[in-house]
Amino acid sequence: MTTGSPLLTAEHVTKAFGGVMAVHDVSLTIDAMAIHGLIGPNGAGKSTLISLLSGFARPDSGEICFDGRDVTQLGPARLARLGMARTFQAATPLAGMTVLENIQVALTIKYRSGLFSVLARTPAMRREAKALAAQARELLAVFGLLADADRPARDLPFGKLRYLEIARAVATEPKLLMLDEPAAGLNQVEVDQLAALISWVRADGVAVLLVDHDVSFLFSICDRITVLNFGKVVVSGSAAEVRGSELLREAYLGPAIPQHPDPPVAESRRPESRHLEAQ
Amino acid sequence: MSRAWRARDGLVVAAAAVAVVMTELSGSSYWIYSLCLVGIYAVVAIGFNIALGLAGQVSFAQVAFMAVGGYATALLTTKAHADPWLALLAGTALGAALSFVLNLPFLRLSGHYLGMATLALALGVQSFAENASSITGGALGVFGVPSLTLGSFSLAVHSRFYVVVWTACALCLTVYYLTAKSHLGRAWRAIAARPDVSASLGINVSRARILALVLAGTMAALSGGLWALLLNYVAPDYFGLAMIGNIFFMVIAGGMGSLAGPLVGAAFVVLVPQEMSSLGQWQGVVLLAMLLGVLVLWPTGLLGDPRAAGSITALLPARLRAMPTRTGKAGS
Repeated sequence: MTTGSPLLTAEHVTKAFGGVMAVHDVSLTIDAMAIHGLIGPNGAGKSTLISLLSGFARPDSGEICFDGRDVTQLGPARLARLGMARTFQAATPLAGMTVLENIQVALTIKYRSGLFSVLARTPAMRREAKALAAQARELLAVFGLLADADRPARDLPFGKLRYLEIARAVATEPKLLMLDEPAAGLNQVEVDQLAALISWVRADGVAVLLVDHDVSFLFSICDRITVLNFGKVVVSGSAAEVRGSELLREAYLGPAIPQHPDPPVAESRRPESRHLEAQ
Repeated sequence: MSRAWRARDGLVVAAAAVAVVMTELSGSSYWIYSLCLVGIYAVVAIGFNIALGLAGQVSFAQVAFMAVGGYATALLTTKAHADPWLALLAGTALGAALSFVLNLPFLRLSGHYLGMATLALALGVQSFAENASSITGGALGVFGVPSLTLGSFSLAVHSRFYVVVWTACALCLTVYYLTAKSHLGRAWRAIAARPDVSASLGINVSRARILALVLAGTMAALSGGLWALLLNYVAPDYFGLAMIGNIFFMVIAGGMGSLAGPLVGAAFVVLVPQEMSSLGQWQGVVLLAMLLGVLVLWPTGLLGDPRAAGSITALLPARLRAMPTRTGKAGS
């Protein structure tokens, strides 16, 4: 088990939509170079938590620190530049772009040349473009997508599209990679490949926050696991600790003796589509 | 971008270059004047192709920056007796500066809201030109704009001004080409497709948008200035709804995000009505029918991406889409 220093700490983070507490007083620590699983039934607040951590939504209260600085109020682009990358639940190939271009877009932040170098076609700008195109191809090779480099990204089969999304996030050279249900809709072979890729990414020094429904997949790969239900942390600990916990079972199946005063109807109404949205 | 697609773009640009040179050599004053207009229209269309075709920004304000360039050139030459070249440069620079300043507040908007706000700006500028008579000459406009000269060599003759227009057009095409194929162009296409995904990859969406809009505004102002120098005159009714329609049509029918599209669109918008003047009162109807035909049969434009989905509805909403957030709240 990896025992790195804390890379990201969220403290008492709360976010409500209308009267629904999507995320309620959640505290979470993700260690550097760890694979941290986030699990919970539909509507538990997993995606909202990722939105909060990645700057797509601001918490109503609470504090988020990343890599030693308070990032609670920062937007997604700033966070990405600080080393936080994420994927989205639905596939997000950029329309009209090839597979290679999708990766190159993610390398945009690495370019030093501005408008004038581009218009003057300075040698430095051309060198840079060439080097970064090569870097994009290298990354495609790692993810087994090199043969598809010049295909329109939206034409990729479902499984490869997933790898492309992860490759694109990895291209930003993050310290923390947040994957929102990367295994959804993949077959067993693809899930195994995915697990290998995630392990490779971590071996490269990247911490991974992994959101998924697939319990066996998460337990096979994660160092630590946090179980979320009704927007709250139910249990958090090492994979072994959480696996033995009765609370995980309860989150999915309900308590052994039905004693819930009000069933979680309002919560489960939040749409959490796992279908591939055609772009 | 597929290779075949790019090759076709290159062929059309080459054909256009041949047509432009042949026309100049032919000495036909009618065609030279017509192609002067095509070139001037193409300049604003190439700029707007960066904003709409690449960066997906539905801005109606291009016509306002055209007016800024046109009026600045006209007023600097007639009232301040500035050199016409200097006035053209100053007008273009003013268009660049104003497109930066005026687009800043619009960065908070996207989709329909951006459209409405920029339309208000466009109509506001036209209304200002119409009503601030002491400065702009009101509805009558500004007369007596001098022509360009090179030393003692006058460029008033259309065949000479033609060279200036098409040099400007070639310059704008070069800017389009170099930026479109660079990381800047990729970032523009990314923010047009998915602003949220682009932001998650560290792209500063606002900065990318403003860069595209400033390039578009600069070219619009250049086009307006050239127009004032060609006609030796500017008037507010040039910069109204009809011109807004022309600018959109040139880019959409020509092919959004295509290098040669604006050239084809400009030629269509200028030449087809001229050639159809014999149709009399039916001219407008036939022209609109042709526009509809293009949009229905070639929804991605005559030179648009041939692989893009094939319906009008598929063409616009994807680019007009407001930034979706995971929280379901609208806005950017």
